[in-house]
Amino acid sequence: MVQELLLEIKDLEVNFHTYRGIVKALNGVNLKINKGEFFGLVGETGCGKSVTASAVLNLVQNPGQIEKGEIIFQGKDLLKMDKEEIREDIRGKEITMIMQYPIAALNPVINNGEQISEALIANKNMTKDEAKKRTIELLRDVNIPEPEKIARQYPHQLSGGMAQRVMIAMMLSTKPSLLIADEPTTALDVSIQAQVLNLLKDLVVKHNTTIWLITHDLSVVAETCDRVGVMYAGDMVEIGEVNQIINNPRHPYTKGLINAIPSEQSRELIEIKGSVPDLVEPPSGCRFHPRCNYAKPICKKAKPQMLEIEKNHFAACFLYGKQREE
Amino acid sequence: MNKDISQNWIASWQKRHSSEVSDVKETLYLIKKSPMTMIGLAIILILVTVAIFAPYIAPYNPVTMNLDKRLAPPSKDNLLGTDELGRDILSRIIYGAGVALKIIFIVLAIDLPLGILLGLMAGYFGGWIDEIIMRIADIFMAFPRLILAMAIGTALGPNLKNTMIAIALTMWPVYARLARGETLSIKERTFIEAERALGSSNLKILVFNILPLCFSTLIVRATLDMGNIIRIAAGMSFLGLGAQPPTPDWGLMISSGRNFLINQWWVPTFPGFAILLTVFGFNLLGDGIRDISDPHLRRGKK
Repeated sequence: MVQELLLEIKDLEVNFHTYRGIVKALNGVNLKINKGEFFGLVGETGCGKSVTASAVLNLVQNPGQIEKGEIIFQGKDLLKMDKEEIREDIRGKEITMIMQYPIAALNPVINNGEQISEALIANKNMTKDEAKKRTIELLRDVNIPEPEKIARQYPHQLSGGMAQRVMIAMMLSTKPSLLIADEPTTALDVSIQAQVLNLLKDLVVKHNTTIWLITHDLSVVAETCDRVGVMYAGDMVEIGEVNQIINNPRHPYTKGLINAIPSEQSRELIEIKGSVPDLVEPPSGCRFHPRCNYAKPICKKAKPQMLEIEKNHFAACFLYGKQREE
Repeated sequence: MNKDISQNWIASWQKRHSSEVSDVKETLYLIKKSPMTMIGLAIILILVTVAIFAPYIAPYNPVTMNLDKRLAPPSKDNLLGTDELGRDILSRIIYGAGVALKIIFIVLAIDLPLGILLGLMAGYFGGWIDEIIMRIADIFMAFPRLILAMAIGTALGPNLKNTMIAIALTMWPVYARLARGETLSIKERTFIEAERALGSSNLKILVFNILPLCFSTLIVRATLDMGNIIRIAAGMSFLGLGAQPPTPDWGLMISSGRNFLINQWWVPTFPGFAILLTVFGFNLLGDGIRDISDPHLRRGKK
């Protein structure tokens, strides 16, 4: 199957200029997302997953700054586009995002139906009646029972799962090519998690939407994604198809993450020793080396490059390829 | 047949607006449960009614002098007595309600939009816009409100219109600061981020997402301030800076009647009571509105 490229991030660097110094949040991130794919981005809190997503939407807030890199979406470099142009043509129309806390992400004083029809009127130039009708259809699409009733209710009257569906309906209202889901299930309980994930999976098939899922939960990724990227401290450390990552992780960090999931054989939790580095003064060379069991002298000196270890499976580590000999 | 259609229409309207209807019902229920709010509401409603229907209610013309009946004590003819020029005090108080409400209305009509506009801008855009607006607000807040209003009133010349301008100029920083504070906290909330992710413009976010959430705070503050506005206006009239004779203004009535307090107590006392009662009413109502708009007290039914 020939994959068509939808989004490509090249060498993206984002810094936050704070009182304590410059926080190097993204240290040259490379990423490709194909059309119609369910892509997962995994990593610990603070590793730069969400910053990457906000950079794509041009929503990096002060004091954050995109220092260099390219974000090529449908053949155009978003970083070279005018800010107003991105707001009008890309954000909300081509790329949308759903958030972690669905109830907080809905305006508390506007009822659910109006939030969606508002977006339709603004982005699709629909009349009020058309928008209302479409809203009900959208709510039905995301498996909401009694959509007419839910549309009249306010966000605080919904459960977390319902609110997340309303949110998904709202973000799908403009038929975006890319839907970014930033920890969409973290605030939901496990049974609802599965429902929401299945819904997202259906949407990929039904609407031919590409979904970029951001999460810290490997089990969520294992369940849903086609391809996975693993991030650590602002670096992309491993990218591959989901079974390659889960069954045969190559980067020591990914191995650690997977070992940390309790399995049937061993009830013991195996942690990755140490903690996430301070990004004001990140470790030299490979940012993972202070916590790595396989660290070699070279790891302190140079940053490892992404290397294709097997087909479609990349890792940035000196344990592999030509880099190994040094 | 016709009746059927209209009934159907009512039923469908009720169904379509069920959440709004139950909201209004709950508000009424909460007002009923709080006796203090009821009293405040009653006082204000009476005040408004009296002000609107003053020409029909008042027994005498408020400015017609009757020197034969100077300083007459309360009696059947003049329920609250007459003042030093023989004018009926009750009639003057009744007409004074209209003057007081006019002052409140105009001051708030200037201050609320001005304060909201400046506060939203300062809070939302931050940076130098914030800095300029808020430092100007600080200058206004640095002086005691009554003193500043007096100074502005004196500079503009003593009359009712200038009093209102003076009070308005001293009050807007309160609303600007409130609106700014609310904006600062609201703009960090996730649904604003979601709105941005949908590609909404700054203007749309400000008007549709931030403004409605500022309203409840500002309305409560404005209701509580209505009492303050009357007090300041009365104080300025008392000092001769506000309404000029023969306007039936409560502050002015106290001012001109204060010489008679010992022997003809009714002349300054009744307008004083009018001010007291009105301020009291607005404060009770303001407190009540604050409690009712508190989401913790509401438990919306499905």
